[in-house]
Amino acid sequence: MNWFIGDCAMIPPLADFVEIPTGVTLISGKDARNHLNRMLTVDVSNDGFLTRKASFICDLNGRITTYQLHADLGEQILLFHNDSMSENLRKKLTSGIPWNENIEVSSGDGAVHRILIYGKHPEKILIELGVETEELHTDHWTEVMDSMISVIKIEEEFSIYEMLVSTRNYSEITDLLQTNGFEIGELNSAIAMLSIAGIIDHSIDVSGHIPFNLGLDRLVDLKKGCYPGQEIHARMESRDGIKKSTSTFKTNMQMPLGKSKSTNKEQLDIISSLQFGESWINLLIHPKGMSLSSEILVNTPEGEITLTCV
Amino acid sequence: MSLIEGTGFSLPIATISERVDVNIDVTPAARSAVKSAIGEQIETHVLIISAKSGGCSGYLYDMVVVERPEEEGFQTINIDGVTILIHDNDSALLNGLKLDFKDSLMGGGFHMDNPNADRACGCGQSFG
Repeated sequence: MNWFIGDCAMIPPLADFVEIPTGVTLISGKDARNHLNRMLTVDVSNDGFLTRKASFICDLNGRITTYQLHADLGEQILLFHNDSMSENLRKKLTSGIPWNENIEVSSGDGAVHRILIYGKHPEKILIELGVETEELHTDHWTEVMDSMISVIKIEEEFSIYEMLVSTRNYSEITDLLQTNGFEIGELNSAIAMLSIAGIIDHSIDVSGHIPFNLGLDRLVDLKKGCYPGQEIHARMESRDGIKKSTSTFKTNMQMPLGKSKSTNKEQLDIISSLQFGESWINLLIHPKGMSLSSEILVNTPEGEITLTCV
Repeated sequence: MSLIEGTGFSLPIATISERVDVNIDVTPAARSAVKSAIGEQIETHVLIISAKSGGCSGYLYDMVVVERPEEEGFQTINIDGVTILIHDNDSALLNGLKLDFKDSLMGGGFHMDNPNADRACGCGQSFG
């Protein structure tokens, strides 16, 4: 990864920020956590105030229905997800509520904004805004300026932070970021940077895939007890049934999303293809044993495309 | 929490569940087991059978003996003096249910046979 990102002029020298379009769902009530925990692939039963966590809800076949980011506010849990998953998620959350449980599900689309801050030195500015960047954690939100902030990734060459900002404060916060030296970035570049950092952003539609194939094993907790799809996940894990993996590849043109085959007849599934400067950054599901050290050729209707692992 | 204070959130999303008139079949063994579980409280207590989200297959069966709840929206089924309640929200999922009881050390207890389930978990507590 480092050779690519290190040479890349696309990384903002200081820092850029960009709003990631997101669906927002609020689940609240004294039984909200239990209700949610019965469906998720991860255990949220002991999550504390301001926990930051990602999770899936899967179908009976273990395939992802929804992929969401949590901001735990106690009896209220905010979920951020791909817009196209909103209906499915809300339908899941509002069904199977027992007669004696108190749970409410609301749409917060447009009420809370998700902002990525990324670049070579965002810390220099964040510190001036009163953010103690060394105290931020990936699994915890920190309250700042009536908003919340967390760190996503810190590498030698760049770092990525994430903010949740209410609509009420949005203009004030974004003005403040710009006044202090942040520039408005490009959405695709920001999400591509996450892909380069090995992170599948919540805005990417991963529905229909198996969590293991996305390399997101950490979002599958086989010890938490039953959840929809758990039997399939447990069987895959115990019988060495995880045959695929996800990696990031660079191309010089956009890859068509969906299934394709390499010239070596390897089955590939492209889940995102985003422009990053002169290149395209692609997330690909591929056979686990596929060699990543050499270039991979894929035939598309637009011609042969060469993929290089980032 | 200032992040979500103020406007911007919708009113709670309500799901309108399909309501059907529930019929369930309770085997003699299950009747006897339910009666035994309720004991002397048979005049005041009821058995509520419900379906809640979760389990390997999407929904979990739940059975509780409680004092007759004040909440509305239940359908009442009387079997040999035992009152069984099923909430309207669960009616489409539980209609046609056959409740049985197996008195054995291994795998004993209440068993559900649900015609609405496309699939059931190995433990029998979950369906989808």
